[in-house]
Amino acid sequence: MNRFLIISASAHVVLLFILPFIPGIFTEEEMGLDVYSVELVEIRSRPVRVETPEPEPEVEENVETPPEPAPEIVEERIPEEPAPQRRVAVRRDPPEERESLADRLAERLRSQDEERTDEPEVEQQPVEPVASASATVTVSRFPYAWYLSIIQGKVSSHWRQPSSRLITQDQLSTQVSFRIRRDGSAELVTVRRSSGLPNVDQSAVKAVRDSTPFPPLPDDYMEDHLDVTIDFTVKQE
Amino acid sequence: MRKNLALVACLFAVFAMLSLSGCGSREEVMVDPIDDMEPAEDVGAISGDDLPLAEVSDETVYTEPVSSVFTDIHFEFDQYNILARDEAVLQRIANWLRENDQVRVMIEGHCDERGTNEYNMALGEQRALAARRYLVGLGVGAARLGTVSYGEEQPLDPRSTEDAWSKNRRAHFVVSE
Amino acid sequence: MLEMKRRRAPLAQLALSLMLLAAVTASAQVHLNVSKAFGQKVIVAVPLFELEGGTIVDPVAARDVLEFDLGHSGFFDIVGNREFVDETEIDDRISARIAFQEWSALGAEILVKGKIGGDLTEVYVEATIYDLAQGKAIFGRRYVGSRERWRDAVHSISDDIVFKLTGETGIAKTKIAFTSSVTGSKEVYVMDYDGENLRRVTRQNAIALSPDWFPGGEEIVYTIIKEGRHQCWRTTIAGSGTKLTAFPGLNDFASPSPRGDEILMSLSKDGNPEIYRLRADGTDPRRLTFGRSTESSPCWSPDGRRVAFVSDRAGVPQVYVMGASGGTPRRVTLQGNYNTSPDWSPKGDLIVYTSRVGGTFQICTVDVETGETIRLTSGAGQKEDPSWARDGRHVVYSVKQGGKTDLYMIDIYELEPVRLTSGAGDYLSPAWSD
Repeated sequence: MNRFLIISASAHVVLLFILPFIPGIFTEEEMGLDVYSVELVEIRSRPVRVETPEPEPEVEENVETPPEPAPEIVEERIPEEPAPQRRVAVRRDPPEERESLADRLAERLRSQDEERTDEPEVEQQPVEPVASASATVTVSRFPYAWYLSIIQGKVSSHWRQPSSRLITQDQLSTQVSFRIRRDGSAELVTVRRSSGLPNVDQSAVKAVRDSTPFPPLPDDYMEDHLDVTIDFTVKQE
Repeated sequence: MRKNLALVACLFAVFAMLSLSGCGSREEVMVDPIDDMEPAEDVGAISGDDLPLAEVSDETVYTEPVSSVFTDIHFEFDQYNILARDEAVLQRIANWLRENDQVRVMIEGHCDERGTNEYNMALGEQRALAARRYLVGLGVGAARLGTVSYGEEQPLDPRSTEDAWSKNRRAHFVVSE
Repeated sequence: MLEMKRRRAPLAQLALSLMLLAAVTASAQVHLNVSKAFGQKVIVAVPLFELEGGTIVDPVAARDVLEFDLGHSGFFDIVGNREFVDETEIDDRISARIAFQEWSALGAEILVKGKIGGDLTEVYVEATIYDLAQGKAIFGRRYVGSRERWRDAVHSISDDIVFKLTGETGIAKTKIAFTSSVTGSKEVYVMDYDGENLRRVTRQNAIALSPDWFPGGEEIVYTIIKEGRHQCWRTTIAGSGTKLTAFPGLNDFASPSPRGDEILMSLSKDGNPEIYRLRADGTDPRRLTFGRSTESSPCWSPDGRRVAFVSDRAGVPQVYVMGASGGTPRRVTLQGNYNTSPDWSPKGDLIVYTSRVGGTFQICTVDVETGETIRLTSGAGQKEDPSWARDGRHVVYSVKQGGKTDLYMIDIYELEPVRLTSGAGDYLSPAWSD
């Protein structure tokens, strides 16, 4: 028994040491392993189709038909109103009003084609620190791109950057991690790596807190939480 | 402030005497301050106006036969203090009201269109209250004077000129019996 | 000794195995990078609604409603080229399948397919949402109701989509109350938040002012100047109302508490405009402010513990915050010398208000704790009377420009005003329901 224990323990210890070097086990980027990486910028920059493609008679590359099983369609009834409504005819705004949304989107797609994540050529006088424009998403076992876009969108829009005067370096970064529960609420919001400036750190934590609740985790995502780490980068330009 | 209180105290004494001597047929309205109200700092609180509604709505408003007495008074932009030039008008009104004590007056407060709609409603009320305070100070019974603000809702002159604006910044008196 | 070791060995073995197992299995982890320049939106394609049966409801109008709701929620951008969108949709219908890659090629991540069916008495509105990257459906929803209520059905679906995809409570089913004198007298009206479905609420033939909602979106409180006096009334949207107060002087700026059991008002019955707290039936007024200055425009914090109001105690109107039972007010507007019409965000951190900036009224927000002030609007036009939507993200306000006043809404992050009204007449004093 003694011998058995020693051999087993040694084997376990050896295994533990080998483990980090086996590809595919760990998901941390720092481990430098094979990770499924999706660049959101790329997805967005797919150009809007300008011409109709030639019809391909036989080959079908897409996923087939309506998905099965079709999601259960929840039905609800609209409650009746007590009194009849009297409607006053209102002229809707001419279509220009709505086109603007479309124009803006086309404009966005075009401009994102142009702007890349490279540094600008010309060095300018630093006015306000402009945050870096990179956005890489590292994913493993969470193939819901739309969900990540929402997290990113909410947190960016809620992030109130602190005053620039205190930032002396070229770039500062706070890393905040948190856990999203199934219902979209967040917990365990912590500063994993401080930028060195408490108000920058606090602005990052506040941005995460202000963005809750996040969307409920997707129905077919089996686990009961999602761990998220976000780098908040403030760069002088 | 003490002077005002003394003056009002005297006025009350005078009224009491007049009532006793049967000069007026109206019942003297006693003022009940609201229980949780602080002691009055100025005349306004004394004039606690809690006449029952029915009385007011039954009255008819007639065109002013004494329109020469009840002329509008005016105010500076964003202000509600009584201007020196209007003191004579208010004195005239006070005198007339003391002689015709069956009459009641609704004081309207108005503003020019600058300023937000919402705040102008409060400013208009302050203008009406300022005129009322002044009249009470001159001896008019506070219970006879009501206030209503119209904010910028009813300008005399709808144009957007300095002239129109200064006309619209006014307190207007509506007499009723 | 040997015996004890014999018993321990399997346990130790188990412990070590478990540790190994734990090291290997880890739940999904995600690493993101966030920067200001990247306010990301999810791109959604919304094709024409499919019709089952006859044209009971205009499918173009239905798509317009859904697109407006999603496009203005603040989280989505809609694929703009309708021609391509509708072509792809027609392809789908002809081939009886969903060409996910075609849809993705339009730049979309999410696809919303809607369907309408039924008859003249009862219709159903249905939608299914697809994740294009994975090529599968996320969820579906159907609403059934009378044909006249088709808009509400589409709005309900929009709110469901917003919640499922963002976790936020949408505003698609909310309403905006306002005043208008288009009939000759100033009355209270209600419309859907998107500017549709205007209907008149009051028939007082007098001057109606500053409506505000009770929680629940069914009842409105407002002030009326009638027969030479201010009165405060409470009414249902259908138009049946009761008088709440008729004190001498002001009976203005009534603001229902978050629970709907009390109202704040500005009354001048004690000789000066002050803030009072009353029961929701207009009884039991309790005075909260004292002094010689003008106190007006009160509103509640979302937890009902504090109030904000306008006071000119500093010489000019500013916004102050105070405990809901009274106390020493603290000034919160720190910029400008004319700040009025506060409304407290449902999220509790910001107060939106009107500020005179260089001669023009603009809409600003101030952080109640930090004092950080942000101007939401700019340019010509007098902007007044801001009111928060329940999402704490959208604000409705009036803009007077070129002799006409209309209602606009703005997203405090997008900062792009959207005009809601365009009919004849002026639209003033908006209040957003919850």
